[in-house]
Amino acid sequence: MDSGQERKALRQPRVWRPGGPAEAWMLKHTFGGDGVFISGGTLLRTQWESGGAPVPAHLIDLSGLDGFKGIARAPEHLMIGALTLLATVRNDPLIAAYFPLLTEAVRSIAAPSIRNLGTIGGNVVSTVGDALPALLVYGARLEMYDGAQTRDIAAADWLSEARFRQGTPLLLQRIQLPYELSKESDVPGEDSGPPQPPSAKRFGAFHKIGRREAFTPSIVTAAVTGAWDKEGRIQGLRIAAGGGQTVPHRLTEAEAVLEGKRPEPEALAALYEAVLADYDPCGDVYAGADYRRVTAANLIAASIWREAGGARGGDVMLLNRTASGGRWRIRPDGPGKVTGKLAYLTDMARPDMLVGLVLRSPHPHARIAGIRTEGARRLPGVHAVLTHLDVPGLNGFGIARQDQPVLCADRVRYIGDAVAAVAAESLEIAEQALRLIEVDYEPLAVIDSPAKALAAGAPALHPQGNILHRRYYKRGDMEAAFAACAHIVEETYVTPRQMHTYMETEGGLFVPEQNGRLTVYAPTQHGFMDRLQLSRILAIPETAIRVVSSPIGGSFGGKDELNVQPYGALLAVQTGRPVKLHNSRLESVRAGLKRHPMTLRMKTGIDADGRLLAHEASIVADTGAYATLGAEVLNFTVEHVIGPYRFASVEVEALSVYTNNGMSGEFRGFGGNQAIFALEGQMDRLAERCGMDPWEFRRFNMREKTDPGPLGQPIAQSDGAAQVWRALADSSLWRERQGLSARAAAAGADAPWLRTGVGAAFIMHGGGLGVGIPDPAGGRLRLAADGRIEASFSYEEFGQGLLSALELMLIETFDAAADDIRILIGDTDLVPDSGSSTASRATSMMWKSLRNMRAPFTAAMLEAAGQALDRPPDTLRLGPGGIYDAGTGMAGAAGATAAVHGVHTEPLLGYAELAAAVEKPIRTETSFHFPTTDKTAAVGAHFLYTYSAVAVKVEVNTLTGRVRVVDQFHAVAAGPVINPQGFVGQIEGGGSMALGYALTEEAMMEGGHYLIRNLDTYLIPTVADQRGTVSVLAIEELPDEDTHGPRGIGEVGSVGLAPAIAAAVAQATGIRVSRLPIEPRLLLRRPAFLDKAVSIK
Amino acid sequence: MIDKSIMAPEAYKPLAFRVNGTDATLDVPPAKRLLSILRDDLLLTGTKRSCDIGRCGACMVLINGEPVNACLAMAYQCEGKEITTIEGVRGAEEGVLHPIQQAFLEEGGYQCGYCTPGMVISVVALLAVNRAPSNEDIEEALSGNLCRCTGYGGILRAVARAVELGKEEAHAGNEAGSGADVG
Repeated sequence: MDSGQERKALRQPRVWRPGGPAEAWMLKHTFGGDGVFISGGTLLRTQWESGGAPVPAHLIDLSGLDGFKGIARAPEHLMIGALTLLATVRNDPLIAAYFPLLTEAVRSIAAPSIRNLGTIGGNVVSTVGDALPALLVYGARLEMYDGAQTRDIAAADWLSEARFRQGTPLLLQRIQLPYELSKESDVPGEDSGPPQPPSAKRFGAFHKIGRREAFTPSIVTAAVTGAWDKEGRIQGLRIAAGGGQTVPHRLTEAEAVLEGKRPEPEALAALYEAVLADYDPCGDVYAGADYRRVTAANLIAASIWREAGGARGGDVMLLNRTASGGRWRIRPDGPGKVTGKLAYLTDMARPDMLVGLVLRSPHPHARIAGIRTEGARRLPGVHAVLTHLDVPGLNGFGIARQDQPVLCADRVRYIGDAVAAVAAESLEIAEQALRLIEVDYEPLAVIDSPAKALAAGAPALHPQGNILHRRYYKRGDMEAAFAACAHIVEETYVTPRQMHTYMETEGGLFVPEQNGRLTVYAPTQHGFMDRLQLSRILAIPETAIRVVSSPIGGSFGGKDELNVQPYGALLAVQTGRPVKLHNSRLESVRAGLKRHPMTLRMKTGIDADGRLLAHEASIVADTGAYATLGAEVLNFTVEHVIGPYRFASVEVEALSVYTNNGMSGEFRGFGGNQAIFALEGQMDRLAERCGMDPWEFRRFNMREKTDPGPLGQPIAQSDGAAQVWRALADSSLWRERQGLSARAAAAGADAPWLRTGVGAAFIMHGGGLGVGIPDPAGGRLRLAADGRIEASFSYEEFGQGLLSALELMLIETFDAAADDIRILIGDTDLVPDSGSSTASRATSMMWKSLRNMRAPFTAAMLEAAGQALDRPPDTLRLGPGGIYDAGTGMAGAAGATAAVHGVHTEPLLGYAELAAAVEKPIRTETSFHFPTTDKTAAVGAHFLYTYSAVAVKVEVNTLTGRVRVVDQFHAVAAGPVINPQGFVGQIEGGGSMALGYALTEEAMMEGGHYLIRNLDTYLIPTVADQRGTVSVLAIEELPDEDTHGPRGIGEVGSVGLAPAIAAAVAQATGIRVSRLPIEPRLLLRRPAFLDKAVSIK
Repeated sequence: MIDKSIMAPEAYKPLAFRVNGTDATLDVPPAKRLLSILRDDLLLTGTKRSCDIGRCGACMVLINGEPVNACLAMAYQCEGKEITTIEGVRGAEEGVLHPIQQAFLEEGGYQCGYCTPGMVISVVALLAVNRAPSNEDIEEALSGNLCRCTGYGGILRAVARAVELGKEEAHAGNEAGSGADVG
């Protein structure tokens, strides 16, 4: 898509408000293609925003045509005004009684808020609306105004002509739905009482199959109605199907096949074949025509078969609010979030600020022959137009390797590459300025896959070639080991490009201060790293920059690297004015990081007893145009494809390859998601091959406590692996699996196409950045002048609950009250460098910091208090609100008991009084390094691990191939639970991300261009996709000698569910998938009822 | 051709509407998005910008009590309407949280919080017409509000808690006649 078009300003169209159809029609006739009819405008606005249709010069608003709103009874039909809101149709009792399939169909359209704007007329005239199949089977007629008169035409006829019709404006006024009643007396008159609903002998079904459970574009829609006669024969069968860009149509040949017949297997089989022949769907990148055809045939046949023949439970959360008691706390940042009062950094504004925008390459790969900015610079209201010539320092960024140009000089390597940046007085002017920048591109061959990048003679994307990073690891004699194997499984696993989809897109405010410094308000996961990178780019000292990086509306790794910061900083410095940037979702999709797509080829062998002997893995990751942390992600993958299993011989070869695809980079799980999906797939296949229970197979081959880590490196020892293994084996979900034999996996007799399975996965996930990479940690405590105990860390709050975890730790460490504490985070001017808020490390590092500072800080406080009170410090202790007598006061639980019994103690000295009394400031700092393994280990090898075992139950609908997650169980061994609410939230939320990864999420690309552009086609789970229970069992026990405390839990929840879902699908269907997201077409099955005799009532 | 006297385009008529109970008149183009009007003109930034096409619900507001995506609604469609944003949702008294907000706090029905204002608005709209929603009712009502952090677990617990709090309040309200306010 051309950048200019994508960036087009929403022109301000004129709005015309005709009072009647003749006026409306005349306006349309006058404006021709420059004017469009608009009612709710939901579809139009979506098309404008996505660049799918231009904003017209004239909007002809139909909402003033009052005669065409609402639902009215006529003698022979129900009248629905075209301007009736979808919400009104959805909730209308008459429609629900007479035309229930229309109610169902409208319920499946978008979401309630959209249905409060959009109208039934808009849905119909789009020609592909999901209401249409229902209208078709009810024989709806459309009243159309053609400028002279109103005619009515059968909806079916209108639709079948629609694809051939050109330009003649028609105005839909009303929809007529004829009653079909068994008795004439049922026909309601204007004054009669409530009409009787149709006879119970009628039947009907509406199906909408999309790519997720709610608010999804349709793939297949189908409506079926009919009635049974006294002999059980079908009468008046009507079938209509549509979906996606398919104009819905009646399947008259399929209807004829069954008309007047009993639904015997042969008749249903004939119907099935007729649907396959009669339904003519359009395929697209999300689902091919064949899948749609088979799914429609399955659903339609099953509707009739089922007519002929034939809950969510309470959450059982093992770690939950009840079990957590007083440790389940309201988060300090909660009130601001539920009231909307918390200002995110993209909510900030200054009266004198400019709006910044970035011009990005429309080509995945091109040479820049010239850039001309004069036109943009001349535009009134434009204050700066920057190109590569205006970058004073290093024109490059990247946490690990600075190979991404801030502003491209001579070449662009992906469609998000930045070429110019502007600052202007308004968004509209800035957009116009972008359009005025002329860039001469000479398109180059697009390397859109790692295979092309690695091919002999491929053009080099970077000076060192197309390989960002190669990693090789080997131990043992592979040849001998494979020779000794009784079974060998070879499989290739393919994982998708997943988008972080933080709800807050990238942005921020950049303010040049009067003292010459620059303040950057922009989300990131390591403020000090941004400060370092910006100082290189701006060529100013780090101390001249202040980075405020919290709060953040979600990150998941996606905002770890610089995004808008270089442009905001350069523009602010250049103009001397505050500059705000806030990416549109389109720009975020295009320029932002994604999870690395990987291809993992594995060959793994066992002996006759099932013991793992040899494991070979070959991994290729598509890292996109620039490095960011692509090399580090690959290292993580290499470590985690070996994981918690005892292989005598292992060989892993991995490549991270540059391409002209979108940027891949850091994302929750950090290469573990891909690795563990493949590794666990191998374990399940091997267990099946040797006839072992898959979980028993894992125990048999699992690491023992004193074993080294996956790369042979020393690691902190714990029983975590065995603990989570046992917890899952004992879980009710896993025991349920044993009762589900393949045959019994079929659900109830009335829906034999629903098949249930339970699967599990085993996870050992590293925390921290790993050996050989700077991974500093630390923090500060001080008694502030106002008496608050102030804790300072450089971490960021992006939703994980870091503030809450820290508050709880401070309360418990110092027996303080919440009101005694002040927390400072995410501001490089106020806090020491604690390292990054990444790699599941922040909670661990805060815990260790407080452990280091507890004694010295307490001693300093008591020393000062002793002086103030003229008492020996060892007779004093800290407590809520101040200093207490150590002998009489009761701390912690004892204090709570005392309070219950009415024992009331006041501090001898309040913290504010203490702060006023002290002569020198009370302040303690700590600084250390994240615990790492032996320095001789491979770079990135980990020392601390979190263990987890995940079981999941799924339901597979073999009519549609769609998988639904039912229940989940997560056992997590990560040491003590610091913040129960945060812990549960991380596992549930991580699991949801893995659910999307397994079932719906893929940022597809073609030729270096994204095929998905926004959240209408990139589908993350909705609330309806997240049914069922999620049980979280936290195993807190650590060995007595352990000094590392809580392990990270921020990522582990996002890793194991996808392989567990694949295993559950295999149990349910017998099909082992090796590619994510799982393709429904692979799970379609011909319904058994088509082939065997069934009794039909 | 067109009678200009009755058919003038409404390009420059000021928008008159009510926002959180206060009358407002703004000189804005008729097709300007309500989202931009709220955030940029009225500085009500509790309504969040995320997808711009009505697919995520971060900008959900009430228009005459019904939930609508502010990124889809245009100025002319708001003429004479009553808009309620998250800033207009509060408990029975000034400074007191609405029971739904209280429920989100207690149950941890949020993490990053960016979807939370829109989520709260959708729950307010649901419970206003359905005090005891079924699981299906809740799924339908919240299907247009995406949350990337929580996996919806905390949100569903918060809705359940809000239903409980609503019952308690209704019970108390029988005597006191109090109630939460969304205007």
